Amino acid sequence: MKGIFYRFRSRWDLLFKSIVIVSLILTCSFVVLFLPQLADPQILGKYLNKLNDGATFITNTNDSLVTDFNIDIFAESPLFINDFPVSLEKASMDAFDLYQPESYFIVAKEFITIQNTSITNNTAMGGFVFAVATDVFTQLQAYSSGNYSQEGAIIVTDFDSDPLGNYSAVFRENNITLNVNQQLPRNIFESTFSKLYNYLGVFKRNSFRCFFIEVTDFVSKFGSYITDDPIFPYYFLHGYVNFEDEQKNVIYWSIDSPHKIDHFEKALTGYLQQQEPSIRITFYFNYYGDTALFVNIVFSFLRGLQILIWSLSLVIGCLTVAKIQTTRKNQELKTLFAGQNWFQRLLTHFIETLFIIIVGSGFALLFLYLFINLESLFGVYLIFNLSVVPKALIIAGILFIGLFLSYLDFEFYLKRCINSQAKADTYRPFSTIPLYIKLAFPALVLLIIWLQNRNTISLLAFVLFTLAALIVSYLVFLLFKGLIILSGKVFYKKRKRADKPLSPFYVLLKLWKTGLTRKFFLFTFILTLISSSFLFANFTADAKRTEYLWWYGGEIVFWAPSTNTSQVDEKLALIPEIVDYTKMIFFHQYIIQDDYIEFALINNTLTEVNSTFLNERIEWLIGINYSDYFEFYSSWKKESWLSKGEINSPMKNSVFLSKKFLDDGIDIGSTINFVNNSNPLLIQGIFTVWPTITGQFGTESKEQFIVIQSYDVLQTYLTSKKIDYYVRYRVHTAEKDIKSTAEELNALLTSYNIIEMSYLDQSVFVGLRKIFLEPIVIIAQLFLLLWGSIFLLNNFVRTEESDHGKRLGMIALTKNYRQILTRFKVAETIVFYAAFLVVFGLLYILTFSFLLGTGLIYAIKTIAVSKYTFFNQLFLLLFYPLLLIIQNAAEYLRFRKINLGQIYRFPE
Amino acid sequence: MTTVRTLRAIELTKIFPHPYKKDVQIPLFAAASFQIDAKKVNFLVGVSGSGKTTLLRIISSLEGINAGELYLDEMTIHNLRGKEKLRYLRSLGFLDQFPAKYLSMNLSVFQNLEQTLILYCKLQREVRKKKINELISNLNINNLRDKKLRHLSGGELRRVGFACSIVFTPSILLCDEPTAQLDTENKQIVLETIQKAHELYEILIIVATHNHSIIGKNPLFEIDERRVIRRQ
Repeated sequence: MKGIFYRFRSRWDLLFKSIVIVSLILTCSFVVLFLPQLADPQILGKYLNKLNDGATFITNTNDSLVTDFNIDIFAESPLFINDFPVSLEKASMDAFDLYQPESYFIVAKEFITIQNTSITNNTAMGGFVFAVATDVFTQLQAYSSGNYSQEGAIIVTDFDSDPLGNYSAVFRENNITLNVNQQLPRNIFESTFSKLYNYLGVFKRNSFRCFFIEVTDFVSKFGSYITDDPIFPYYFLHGYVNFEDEQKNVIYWSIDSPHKIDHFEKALTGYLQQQEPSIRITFYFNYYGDTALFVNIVFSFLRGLQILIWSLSLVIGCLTVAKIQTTRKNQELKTLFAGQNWFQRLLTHFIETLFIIIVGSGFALLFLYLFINLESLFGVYLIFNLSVVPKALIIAGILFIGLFLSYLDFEFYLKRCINSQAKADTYRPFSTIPLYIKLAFPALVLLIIWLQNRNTISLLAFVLFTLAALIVSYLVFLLFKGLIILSGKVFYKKRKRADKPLSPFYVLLKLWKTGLTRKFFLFTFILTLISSSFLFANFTADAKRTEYLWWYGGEIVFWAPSTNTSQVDEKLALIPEIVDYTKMIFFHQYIIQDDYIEFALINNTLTEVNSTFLNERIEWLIGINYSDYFEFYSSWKKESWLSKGEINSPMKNSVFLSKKFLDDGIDIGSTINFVNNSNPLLIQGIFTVWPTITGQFGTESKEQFIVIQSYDVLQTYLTSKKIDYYVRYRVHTAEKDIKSTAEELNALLTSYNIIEMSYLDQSVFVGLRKIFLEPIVIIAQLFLLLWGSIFLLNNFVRTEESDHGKRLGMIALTKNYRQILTRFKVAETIVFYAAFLVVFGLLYILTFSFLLGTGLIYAIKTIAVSKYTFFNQLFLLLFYPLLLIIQNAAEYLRFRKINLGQIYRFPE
Repeated sequence: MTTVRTLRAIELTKIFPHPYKKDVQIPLFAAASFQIDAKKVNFLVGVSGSGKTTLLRIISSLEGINAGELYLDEMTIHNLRGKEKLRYLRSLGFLDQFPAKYLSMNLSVFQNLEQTLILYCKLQREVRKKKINELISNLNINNLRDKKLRHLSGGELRRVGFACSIVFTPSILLCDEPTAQLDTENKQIVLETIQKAHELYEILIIVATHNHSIIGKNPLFEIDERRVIRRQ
């Protein structure tokens, strides 16, 4: 023990520095354990639920129910539906750890043809019989009138004349009698059982006539017709399961969502099959491909950052041990010469490593607590919970193993020194380990990542992400290496020709070459990872926002009936948050006596045509106010809207045609005539993709669109024809007021039959940036800590005692070496910053290629770049050079006072 | 009475490859034969680059030979490997002009000696203490006992380094330029210390130096023309 005590005492300064370094790297390693909190399902769901829709709908004409899971079942008996809720709850707990879905329904469905002559509406002789669970039947009974009995059916119908009593019907080609003894009015059914009504919406296409019957009663009365059916002796059942919003977040936005969903489907199938073994289930999950992919991208990115920090920490830790041991190499040799055996050596290193890790971990936990709490100053809210403790122990354990192995590696090096019968090479950590074993470690890391959640997409995204970073950084590294070698050769040749000695600058370059190249490669690799996520997050958010603006135009959109537009205009004027609005008419057909009247361009005249017309029709006639519309979109870049012509000034009584007309030989400069209107309309332009008018893709040449820059022309025509139509309103507000204004509008306009009111959910773009950029903020702060540890590592020993310092001593022999050193450090800063700009440029290209390739943007120039993107890039452009300057300034300060006398007191 | 140790070299040959030219070899020793014993402090001289340090490394088995044999008493030491080598190294003491490399500058003289003794020997605490105090007294470094090494001058450091080299009573003590960079007075002190240690502990001591003035009447071996020749 005394020996160990002396050892610690003799190297306490080195141990102290090591503990500081290990504290810093453990702090960083522990902090990144909290990164996944920034992207947990609730946060992702909160911000990104509208990623695919883009808009949030307040009112909707589409009244079919959107469900999370649709279920189709074939079974020999439907009686299990009474136990469906229990099975569902168990499956939900198993798979999602969620107690109960928000709503669910399951029903056995059969179509019947009614033969009652007493049914007065002979156009609708069909109806559906739904066998429902006992408790559902009881709920329906509570609102129905008639003879309350578990036997017999409840009718829900559009037709008041449908009686109670016996219905003769054909059921699977069998004549049956259906006893209907209760009636539930359709409007009550619609309002009281709205979800059920909307789910069964597919059956509303024709007139609504449904018969609900209790499942046991159904089986006893009609089961034999089904089981005896020679073609298909099974019950058809349909159902759905819906979860509430918070639950949906877990289902859609977890990293292992596909796995969870698969588990749920299997679990539910299993539980139902326990009730009824003959069940065959098909699930239709409301799957958003983008969602799963996006979750994987986010988590892969976070995992990449974690692994980056952990890897750097491990490397720094191993280098720290290498530094300690090489600094005290001769003392270590002395203890070997003294005959200390392997066990004693291992025990010594074990105790030393344990000491460093335990003390370092103690400080790291303290720093961690401070760090987590201080993050709130940056608007980043992390919660410390004990679930990270096992992971923290694992990290500390891995670092322990890394440090201990470093000690061991140095022992083998000492043995080589003794056995090699000559001076051994300078120590390089783990240099004797073959490359294929070194490569096994990243493979092991990948395996561990995959095993954690069995998510191949996530793993693939992570691998691609890292490979891309390595490739970009290596290309940049090669580029600059080539430039430096070239400039060195030119420089050297010039000097040689001039018969002058090598410049000290060139000598410095040669001396520092190996360290520089290593530093450079690592620098560009880290830059690539960080900058790519910055750019990706910002430009994806901007691109998505641009895309949504293309689809939806103004921030709040709704349709109002033409008869109410003046009242709507009055109400809009009452809301001060509304900046401006514009109206558009979209029209293409109307009905006269069961015939559809549409339009076609015949001899340059818009002509009404009916169903007998065989040629192409105009897909849409759009009316916009010629000055108002373009003023509304004045901030939009309109360059790509037209393939011919210009939108330089709005012109009344002119039109824009879609490209299909150009293919038909109609060009700008000519005129077309509107139906019954003597004023010709000048063709001002041919458009390709026009946001708010066409879809983003596929409408260039396939459809005929005519945009009339005169709202009045179309309005007058439609009014004269007494045709009802809808006007599309687009309303601008400040971004912060969108949601509240939309809700206020919806309330104000309730009585005016407004439909499909929607608004652009800005939180999607906030979320995209936030989820990627908050980790970057944390990582930037952690890099400062890591930089501090690397700085300490570089200053582990006094300059005069280090190999690096001794080499530099040669330069100190030249006069004005401080000036040379300054120039060198400035040159190094410039080269590294130039590399950073090259990386940035390359990543710009990659980011835009990705956005174009995935269809997120139509053209680069269409992206509306937000101020957040601008400031985020500015931050990045300033943060790294600042770090470079600080680092090089610190190195300059360290090296400028080289004491030559001290150097030659401690030669190698 | 301790046996007088004898170091014998027979037809010792050492060749180095040229650092830049693959097929060229540079012989350092060519069939050199000599014998060194522990009766007196032995001095090894030669011009710079003649191979003094290399010969010391060969004797310590840290450097191999191309041909010949080397014996310490009856033990073969020119082809040691593994545990045998480590056992042999354990019986050697080293001293060069930079003892700070091997010593702990944060510890005192006494603590450095104790640390060395703990590494080399398993002795009880009191025995250890006694041995160290004796050595300190014998080498006249009582005044330095509790001083930290970083506070010592170059000469004092050299004497402490010497003390650490012999505290565990090695079989051989190899000194490489132990008086280099010292003033005359300190040189004398160091030499006297070496002589005294030899008298007290009867260690086979070889001092490599290029400074003839410190040799006196001690045995002198000169490296000349790739051979080791006894001059006196």
